[in-house]
Amino acid sequence: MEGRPLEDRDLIARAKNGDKTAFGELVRVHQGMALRVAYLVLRDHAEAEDVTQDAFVKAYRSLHRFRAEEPFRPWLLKIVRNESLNRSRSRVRRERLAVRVANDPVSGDAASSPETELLAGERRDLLLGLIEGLPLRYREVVVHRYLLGLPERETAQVLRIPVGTVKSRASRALERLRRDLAGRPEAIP
Amino acid sequence: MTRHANLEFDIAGLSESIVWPQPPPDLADKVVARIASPDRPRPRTARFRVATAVAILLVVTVAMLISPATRQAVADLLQAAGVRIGLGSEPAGELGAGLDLGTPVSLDAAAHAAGFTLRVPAGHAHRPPDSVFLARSGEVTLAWSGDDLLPAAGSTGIAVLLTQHAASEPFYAEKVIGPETGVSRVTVEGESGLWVAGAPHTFTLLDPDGWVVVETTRLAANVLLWQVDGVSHRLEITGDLEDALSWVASLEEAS
Repeated sequence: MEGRPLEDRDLIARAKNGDKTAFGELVRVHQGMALRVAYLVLRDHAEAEDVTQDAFVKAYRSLHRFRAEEPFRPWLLKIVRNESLNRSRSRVRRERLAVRVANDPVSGDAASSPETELLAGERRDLLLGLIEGLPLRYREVVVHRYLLGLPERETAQVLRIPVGTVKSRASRALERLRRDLAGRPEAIP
Repeated sequence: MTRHANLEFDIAGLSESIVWPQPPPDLADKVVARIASPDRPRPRTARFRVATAVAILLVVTVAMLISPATRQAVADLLQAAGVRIGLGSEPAGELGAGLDLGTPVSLDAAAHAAGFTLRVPAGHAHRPPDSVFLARSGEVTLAWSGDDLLPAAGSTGIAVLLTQHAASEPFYAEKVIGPETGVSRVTVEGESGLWVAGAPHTFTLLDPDGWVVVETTRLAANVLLWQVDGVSHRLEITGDLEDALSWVASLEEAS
């Protein structure tokens, strides 16, 4: 999901020249990831959708500041994250991420037994809970890098930290998660 | 492949379990419709609401001052470290120069003059402060301008203000909270702190000698208050609580 740099570049050039349809195409290309970034901050689907729309409008109005040689997606996601953080400013309580129920298969694995599904669901909930319990600086790296699947460089750009910091924080976070999982009797080796 | 490859794989697999929001089919059309229309002001009337809130706060502040019972009740509820806030005005020259924060100095000079261990956000994620002020009381305030992530508050040009001063003893801070402001107790660096979200707010303080001091914030920003190792901290920031705690987590002794 590295985006489509060449196509982005063409669409951005057209959008800068006033082609709003081209910008609409950019929205279609990046709306899925933008929504996920907003949702990770806001934990509310409707609000994430609202903020994402605002962020795209803001991005369009800031296009003149976008440097053509840079990748578009991290620039856009930074705006989405910023808008989301601003929207969540007055919140203190953070909702948990919504997850599918255990018997709602997502992989289509017909061979899974109910017991296997249950164990997988328990481990999933455990792991998600441990990630949510990480200090912010580690959690942010983990969710952007692994849950969203952003490359290291893009994670660094969105979070505005060096690539080396992404690497070190990811490593420390994974080490802590591995240790916490090992300390749980229900953990699967 | 890293030594945590299996765990990385497991976490990536969690993504399939999360109920992510799905792009509505008309999102792009809505965006295009908005950018095609003239740049209209947002429907919310934030400026009006803030002005109204300020007016209400002034009235409530006076009411608080003439009601010792109410004052004590709020003080009991909102005990926090000492807070010192200057009166607002337009910035002049150095960032924050118009905010009565003290004398502009270098960070080294502030660290040397402070009667406590001054801390600053460290790491590449944080810029050095744009300006540093040392007050005659020994209080040190660091100011950062706004950027892409943390917008400046109003016309001040400031996104973050971090104030530190030695606190020989904890004292009470009362606050009059506006209709859009919420206060929560939070744990900061293992200590009890306060998160004041929303804007604006007026602080009514009881200093260590029992004098009542009324001071008003000049930034319409959120405030985190805590005291650790005998130093009172006040972080005023245009971001949210997670932003604030991220700044706190990066604090290191000024070298």
